[in-house]
Amino acid sequence: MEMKQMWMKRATQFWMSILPYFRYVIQSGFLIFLILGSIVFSVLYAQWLQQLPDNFQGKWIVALALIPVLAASPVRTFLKKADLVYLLPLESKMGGYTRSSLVYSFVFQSVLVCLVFFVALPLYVPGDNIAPVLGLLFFVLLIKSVNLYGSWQEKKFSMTSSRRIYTLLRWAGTSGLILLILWFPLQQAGLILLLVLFTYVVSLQLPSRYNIRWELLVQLEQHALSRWYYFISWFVDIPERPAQISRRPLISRLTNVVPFLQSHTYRYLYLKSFVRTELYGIVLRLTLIGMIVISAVENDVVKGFIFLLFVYFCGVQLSALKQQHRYVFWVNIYPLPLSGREPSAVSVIFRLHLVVVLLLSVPIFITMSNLIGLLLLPAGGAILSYLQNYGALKRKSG
Amino acid sequence: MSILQLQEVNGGYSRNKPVLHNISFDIRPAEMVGLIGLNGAGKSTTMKHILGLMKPHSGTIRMREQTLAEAPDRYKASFAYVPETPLLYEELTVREHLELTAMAYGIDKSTFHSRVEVLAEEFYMKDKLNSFSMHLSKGMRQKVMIMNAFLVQPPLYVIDEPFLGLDPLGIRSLLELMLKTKQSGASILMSSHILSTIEGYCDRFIVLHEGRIIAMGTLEEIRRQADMPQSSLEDVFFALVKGGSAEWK
Repeated sequence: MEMKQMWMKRATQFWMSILPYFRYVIQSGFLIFLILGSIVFSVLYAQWLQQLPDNFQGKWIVALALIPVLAASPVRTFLKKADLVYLLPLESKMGGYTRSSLVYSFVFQSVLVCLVFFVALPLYVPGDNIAPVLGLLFFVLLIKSVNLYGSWQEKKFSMTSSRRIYTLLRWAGTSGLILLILWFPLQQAGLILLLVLFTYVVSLQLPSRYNIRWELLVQLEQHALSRWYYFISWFVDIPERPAQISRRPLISRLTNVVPFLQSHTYRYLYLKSFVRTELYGIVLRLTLIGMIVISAVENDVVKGFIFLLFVYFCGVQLSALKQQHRYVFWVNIYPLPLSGREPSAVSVIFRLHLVVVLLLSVPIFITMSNLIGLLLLPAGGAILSYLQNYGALKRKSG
Repeated sequence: MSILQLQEVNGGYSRNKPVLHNISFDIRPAEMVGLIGLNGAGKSTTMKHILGLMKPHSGTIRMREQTLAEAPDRYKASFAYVPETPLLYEELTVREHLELTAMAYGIDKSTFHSRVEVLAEEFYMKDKLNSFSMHLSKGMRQKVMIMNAFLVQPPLYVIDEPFLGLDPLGIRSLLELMLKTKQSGASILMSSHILSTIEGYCDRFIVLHEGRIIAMGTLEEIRRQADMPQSSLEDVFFALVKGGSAEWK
């Protein structure tokens, strides 16, 4: 009972720490963007559904949409570093605590699963009968709950290799089961599904395990926190947020282009920070999505519009880099003028942004038929980037 | 000429509650000075004032004859700092920390390479140069801080409690490095609680107690001030702090 209360306290603490920031998220117009976006999406989606051919295999899309939201099953534990000291003696009493974590994660992720399920549902045509749909939803949520349980058990395994194998198994199994219940009559499919899930749960007991693998859980919890803070950092500056670091050995050689000079100290630091933090992955993904969308759209005007939109969004993302190292101790110690930090950050961001503009221009060069647009758009992107980065700087210092 | 000079420095986090009272001392070239005192005596606060992180309420601090306000870059380029708790960038490897420091202090690439080679060898960090800070132990992080400082080779080293977490080999390497540095003409201001270790290494000691200097000088001199000839630094320190208020003249 005591541990359950503690869990409640932790969960409340987390939400109390994060909710005040949502004021800024709403202020930024993100909510309006979201609402407008969903309206536009539903209209386009409805139109698209109307003109689908009868033999369209919508089930594949349903499966593709469901598999990731089912298999990806992080468990929020709200554990802190200090728990390694203070909760360790209570390890045997942690049952209530972890159950609360699992229930919490199940509720949150089920909402997402239901959302995806009902949005994708029109593509799955089971006939007029509503019963199969509810039955299907039941099995889908069952798969979700077993995934969460499995993901939780994996985190106790003592060998990293067995954890990896089981994670892989879970994704493969989830994919298989989804295909099974979408393609085959629910009664038979359901029976096989129950059998598979049972075998899986039993097999989870095989690898050697810890009671609780504290260090891993604390690490994962910090990743979860850092994702939240990352999202919020688009809207408002958060000085202290845990970062997620990846080595990226090849791409981090990029910093060799920075001359080994005192005047370039901060450029070196910012380029390294970009390459090693989550920002790199986010900008890269956004750029790739942009390139795909630009190639896919047929109308040249829409193409150009989407190009500029992605240039702008990538610029917004990149500007987060400027917020880093503002409160770093060493900045006050180095024999460098404090005023040099921000211009260096902006110059790094601008150069990276130009690379993004160049990448986004590739599908323009290849697929655009209008020659004027083909020449003007990349230049327009570069100008937009300049305004985004240096316009802001002037406003602040002026 | 002194490298560092504090003149009647009063300071602290708020004017109503000053932590430092009338701190005056100077550090001459090629001198190793130990700053000793109990927890909360004002050692770290004194260092923060020297680093320029805190401004004195009154009094002046000169680095190579100039204050921070007069010549900020020259002031900051005059010293390297080893903090009590290692402060590292999460996204940089050990080698990259050293690179960044070298750039910040305007050290050219070939000098950098030769110095890193020697330092990594000295502190047994050669196979850790490509590790991230999160994969280093407390002692190794401390070594990164020490390597950063000694890479710069400034006229003054400000070192706050450097021995905690260091293995015995690391402690010996650090002490040898400090001696070598001193012989080359640079000065060191170091705070430490490990009195038996620093006793034989420091040329002079400054004993801080409740924000005031209660004794200062060579081991011989502070023994005399405590009226305890032949005693160890630890015993002298203990007597001085116990008798606390006996103002040093």
